[in-house]
Parts: sequence; structure tokens; C-alpha cells
Amino acid sequence: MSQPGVIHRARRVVTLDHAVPVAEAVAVRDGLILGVGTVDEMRAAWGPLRVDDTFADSVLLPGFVEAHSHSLEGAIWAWEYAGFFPRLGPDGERRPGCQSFDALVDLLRRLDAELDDPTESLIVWGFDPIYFGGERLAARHLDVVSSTRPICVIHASLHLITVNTALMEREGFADGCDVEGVPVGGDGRAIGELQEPPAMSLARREMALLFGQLGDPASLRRFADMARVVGCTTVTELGASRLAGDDDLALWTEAASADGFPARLVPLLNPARGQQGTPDEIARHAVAIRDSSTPKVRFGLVKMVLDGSIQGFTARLNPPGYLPHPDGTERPNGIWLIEPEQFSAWFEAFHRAHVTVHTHVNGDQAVDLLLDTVDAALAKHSWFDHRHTAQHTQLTTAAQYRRMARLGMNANIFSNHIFYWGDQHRAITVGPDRAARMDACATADREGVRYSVHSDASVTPLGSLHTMWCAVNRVTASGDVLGPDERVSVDRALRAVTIDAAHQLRLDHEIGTIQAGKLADFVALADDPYDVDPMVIKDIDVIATMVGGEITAP
Amino acid sequence: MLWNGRRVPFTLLGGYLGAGKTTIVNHVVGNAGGRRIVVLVNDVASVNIDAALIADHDGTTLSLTNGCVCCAIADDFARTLEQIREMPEAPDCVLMELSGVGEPARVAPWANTTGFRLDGIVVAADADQLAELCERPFVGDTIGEQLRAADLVMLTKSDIAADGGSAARRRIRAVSSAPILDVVDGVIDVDVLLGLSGPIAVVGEADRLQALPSLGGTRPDHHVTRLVELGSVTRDELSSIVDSLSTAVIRAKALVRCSDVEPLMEVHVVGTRRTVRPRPDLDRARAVQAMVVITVVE
Repeated sequence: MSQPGVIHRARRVVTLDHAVPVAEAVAVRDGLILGVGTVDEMRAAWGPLRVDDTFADSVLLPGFVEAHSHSLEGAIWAWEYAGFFPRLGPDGERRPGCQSFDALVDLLRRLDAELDDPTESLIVWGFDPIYFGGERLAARHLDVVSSTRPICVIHASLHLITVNTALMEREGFADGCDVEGVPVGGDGRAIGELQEPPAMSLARREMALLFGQLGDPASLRRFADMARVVGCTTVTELGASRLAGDDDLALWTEAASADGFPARLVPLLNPARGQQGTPDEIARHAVAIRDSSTPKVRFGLVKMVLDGSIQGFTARLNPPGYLPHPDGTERPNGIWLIEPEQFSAWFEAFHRAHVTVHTHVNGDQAVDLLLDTVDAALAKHSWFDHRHTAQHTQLTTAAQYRRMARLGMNANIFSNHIFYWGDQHRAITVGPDRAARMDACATADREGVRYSVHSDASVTPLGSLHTMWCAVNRVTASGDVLGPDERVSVDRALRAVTIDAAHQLRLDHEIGTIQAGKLADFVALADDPYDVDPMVIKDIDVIATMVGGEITAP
Repeated sequence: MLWNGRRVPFTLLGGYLGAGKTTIVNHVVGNAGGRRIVVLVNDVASVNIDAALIADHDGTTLSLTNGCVCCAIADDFARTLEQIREMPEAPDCVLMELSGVGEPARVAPWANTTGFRLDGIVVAADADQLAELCERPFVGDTIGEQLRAADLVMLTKSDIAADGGSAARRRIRAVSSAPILDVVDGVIDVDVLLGLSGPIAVVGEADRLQALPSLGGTRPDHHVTRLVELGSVTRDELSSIVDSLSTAVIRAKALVRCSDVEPLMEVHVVGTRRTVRPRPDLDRARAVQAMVVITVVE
């Protein structure tokens, strides 16, 4: 039986549907959009539906679609945030952040007092002291909070943690050890920094807790809550989660089956994550798991990772490569994570099975390998609507975008990098000219490649308004504009975080615009992004989201 | 404390696709000689072992009746190594097969974390293909980095290389001075790849000194094991003896009492990796003033 429909009257409905770009109201029934227009038009067409004025002062847009994120964004909120910038939590509360060591110690003291079990580890994350001046966080700063409870401060980069003496004593390395990345002070004792994942693994219990969170349904709930808070109605897990067995799939479908689950989840299968079998067997598995999809969880796409990161100097670059070290010594090229032969074997199997492949390619040499591989796959097997997508695609050149367009590919551009690392890219990794055309949305437009823009949460915070703000303004953390000619319009950026993101997830027939027949997934904003100063787009308040016509509540 | 503070020797085996890593792994697993080896591989299905040897197989872990365990490298190194640490008893050693593009120098820090001590980096190279691979687009420099990180190079398939592997040897020598061992069909003495079994105990027992030269399974066509008497040495003298060992030395091991320092000094050599470090945790009575040295016959 059909439910009675409802008409949501808004200050404005921005549809992103070219036929009816703006409207007064949107009519919804059974989770689907009946139509857009005036209230009178909707009642004339669909009968005397109830009019809901909850959003009468808000602007309704299609719910944002984050096409490159990770559920770690939800896992990590098992603990408190201690970063520099204020940040919204999945409960909708804004954390003020820690702008000094004292603020960190105050936060830790408060959290320490809240824990009953004296052996339970106290973990905070996101710590970012680069704006504090020279001093480094050390165990002695944390020891004032507790000399008995293990304390672990995870830095924003996720490549560094600082731990207290109690933790080092528990693991037996307080007096120093020969593990790389464990600096010692003048007294020969470890100062409490654990640099890079091998050294971080010395905090065994805390790292195990972090991994454990990834397999906890509560983390997926927090991930979806975080999405709700920032206005995303569809979020992705780009291949960091294993989708091999029934249990792996059930983790997603069961978590999302709760009443009012506040987002749709799109987890991608990564053949390098615990998949056994030949490429064809894995491709068949990728197709078969589509049948496990639910209204809130969509399986069926694939993700692979070819290279590392630019800020970590592990992305694969074409000449002239990375800038040298400050002392003039050459930096080696980055790393491959899959052999070209293995990549090609997997890619071709997925392509033959008509499975869309998203490939992590940060460096331009990795893009070349991807383009060669897609070219070869298409030469062997024709599939016009493949939507294979280059993910991150940060250093992609105009020539590469031209090839991408000819091959029918999509891009998902890591625009948030401009704000978070743009200054470092200009000064340290690739220099001013290549930094100016990093994350080149305008070039992708000129060369005819359809693209989305993304946060890679939790590498940077989830938030499509912030991500589109980056693409529109290209402002770095220091306030400079990096590559002004690569800025794009508000309209273009808004499409990138809605309909074009949906397109590369093969969901553009269901979500991404507000038009009759699509799912009633909306975000209600306090202001219209088209009307405000582009520099304040990121600050527009998210009033609510609706998923399948239901207002998602905290 | 994990395994009472014991740190298990951890060997990295690198090399590109087709270099023969899997063949070497299969040989080691089938010829473990009583060692309980944990072998970490990319694909457990590639481990080719007599079915009678399989005690248990759950898809990602293969337990063998000879005490060895083969595990798939899970989602990341951190979790893979934690799986080993969860074993109630420490294995005798760990052998990790890297992916074809794995760069041993970048992975090596993992081999030196809680419960493990990096033993050495062994890189396999295909005598027939290496010269061409080093020129290949995308991966040529990666293969160079692998060879540069090697403490020992295992040159495979020289029996089928048209030039007997001389071009490959030139390529290796351009970036590495590590000893090059010819390995055909994966047949390598496990002592050479993974170290002398129970080295400290055996070297340290004076009454077994006579047996030492046979350790390491001398094969005159391939490698020779001998004993170097050290007599009374200072720490510096011991270090300079180790540093001056020939480049043909593939392994050396000793536990020595030096005349000027209290703790025992342990000598550990794997090709170009040469360390002399104090072992205050060991009883001085276990010292023997001699060093076992295995040298490749080139």
C-alpha cells in the first residue's frame, strides 16, 4: 500500500535538473520523488497532499554524494578529536580543537576523569601541532595527565603517534629500542614519539583497538551520522574494507538495516584485500555480491590502488619527479602497490565482467599506467558505458585528461588537498608550477572529462561543502590562491558533489538530482550556495538531510 | 612480555614477478629441517606442498605437519605481524615474501618491531629476464631499488639463460656488492637463506665446537662453511675482523667474549649486512672464541 505523500515546501528547491532547475516545493511518496514545482502544481497533479513546512526557510538540494571516503571516518570517532581546526562530530557538536599543548592536556585530563578502568587506554586523534611553533609533543607532556594510564595521541597525518611513559613501560621500550622511528633523548630514553606505522605498531593494544573499530557496526553508524551532519546522503568506502566473505557483507547490510539509518553506503571491493582466487573468480564475486545490496547498501564496484601519496613522497611521478631534499640530494620516485601485470590481469577480468573499476592514481606516472591498461582492456573487449574512474588524479596533465576523455573515463579529483597540503606541495613536493595545476578541475572540464571532487575522509574531514569550496576557491591553509585558473564555478562544483559523483558510482539514475522518479535524498541548507560569497560556501549550515524521504535525526 | 622478550629472526624475500620467490618458498617449506618457520606469502594457493604434509587449511593459513605455517599477508603488515604475535609460542623464524613491486628497504622496519629482529634481506633475480626488466617502463627503477637493498642476491634460472646469467650479474653488480648465489629450481640450503639453526646455542657449546664446520651444509660447488678462530679480541678488533670479511661471505655468526667489554658480543652477518652488538641478556659462559663463516663459491 502506498503511503500518503507529502509536499516539502522550501525557500527554494535547487534540483540540478536542467529542465526544472529551481522550484518552490518537492513532492515525495514512498521514498521517491513525485515531482517538483509550486505547491499548487504538485497538489493539482498528485492530489491534496499534506504540505510540510519544516524546510520553509531552508534551501533543499540533492543530498551530497561523497564518492571517495573511508569508514575509518566513523571508526576514529570512537575517541575524541584533538586536532587544530574546530570540527563537527557525528553527534553534530562542534569540537573546539586543540590550539596548544595546554589545550591538549586539558582535554586529556577531562577524558581521563571520565574513564573508570584505570588500565583502559586513553586515545585521542587528529592532533596537529604544525601551527604551535617548534616544540614537539613528547611523553613528558602526557605524563602530567597520568603516570599509570596508557595515553596515545594520534597525529593528523596518521603517520605519527605520541605516547606516554606508562604505555612505553607496558610495552618495554621506555629505555629505548632499535626499532626505526623511535627517537631517544639525551638520556637514551625514548621521548615518546613513534614515527611511521612500523614504530606505531609498538603501541600494540591501541593499534589493535583501532583495527577492531573498523570491524564494529557502531563505526559504520558513526560514519553515517557524520555523513548526516555534513549533508551527505550517500558515502563510499573506497576499498579499505574487506568484502570477501558473507560476514564481511553482513557487517554493512546489518548495520545499515537499522530504522532511520542516516545514509546510503557504497563499499567498493578491493581485490588486494583478502580476496583469494583467480582474477575471473574475483570478478564473478564482485558481480555476485550485487545481489546482497539493500536500499541503504550498494555493492558492485571495485577499487584498486596503484601508488602512494604525494605528501608522503610515495606517489609515482613522471620526470622531473619530486623536488630534491632541502640539502640538495635527490628524492627517489614513489612506490607501486601492484605489479603492472597483476593490475592488468585484475582490471581486464573486471572490465570483461562489466564491473566499474576505480583506481587510486595520485602521481602522473600512475595515471599513465592506468590509461595504458584501460586502453588495452577496451581494445580487447568493447564496453562503452564502463565509467572506469581515476581516483585522486592529482598531478594529471591536460594530455592525460584528453586521453581519459577519449577512453570514456571519469575522474574523482582530490580538491581538499589544495587547502590541506597546497602550501607544502608548492614549497616541498613538486614546486609552484606543478602545484598550481594540481587537482585541475578546470582542465578536466576543458578536456571533456566528467568528474567528482572528494575528501578521502578521514584523510581530510568529510564535508562536501568544504570540498566544493576548495574546487571553487583553491585557497590554501595559509590563505593563498593556488592556481587560480583551475578554479571552477559554484554550479560546476555542486554538480561534482552530486550528480557527477553519482554517475561514477553508477547511481545517477537514482540519486544526484531532484527530479521525479529518483530517491528522495535531500540536504537542507541555511543558504543557497549560488547566492553566497563563494568564500563562505564551506560555512553554510547544514539544517538536516533526508534519505528516502525520511528526515534523519541524531 | 611477548615470548619472554625473545625476538624471532625475520627474513625478507624480495624480487619481481617470475624471479622464483615462490619456488624458493616451496623448497624452504618442504626442507625446514625441524625449524618451525612462519612463511608469509601473497597467495597461499601458490604454496605447492605434498598434501600429506598439510595439517590444516582455512583458506588464508596453511598449517603443516612439520611445524611450519604459511599465512597470506592480510590487509596490511600491522595486522599480519600481529597474527604471528598472537601465537602462544614463538616460531623459530619468519620468512616474508614481498610482492613483485615490494621495496625491501621500505618494508624492513616492520621486520624489527615487537617480537622480531630483521635477519636479512634476500632478493631473487631471474638470470634470463633481469637485464630486460631493469629497462622496462614503470617498474625498471623499482627492480633497481630491490637489488640495491639486498644483503644477498639469489640468481635463479641461470641454467636457462642464454648467456648463463652474465648480463644479469652485470646488472646486479652495477647497484650492489651483495654476494650472488646461483639457485636452480629453488634449491637453497635453508641455513644459508634463514641462518644457522639455533645458532647461539650451538655456537656457544664448547663441546660441540668440533661439529661446527658441518653446519650450513657445505657444498663445494656452491658454498663452504668454515670456522675462524678469534682468540682474545677487543670489541674494536672484533668489529674490524667482521668488516674485513670478504664480499663472498654470505653468512657469519659468533658469540664472543671481548677483552674490554662486559657483555657478550654477537656477530651477525648476512652478505653485506654486518652487525656486532652487545647481548647483555646472555650468559657469558656461552661464548666461543670462534666464528662460523659461510662463503659462496663463485
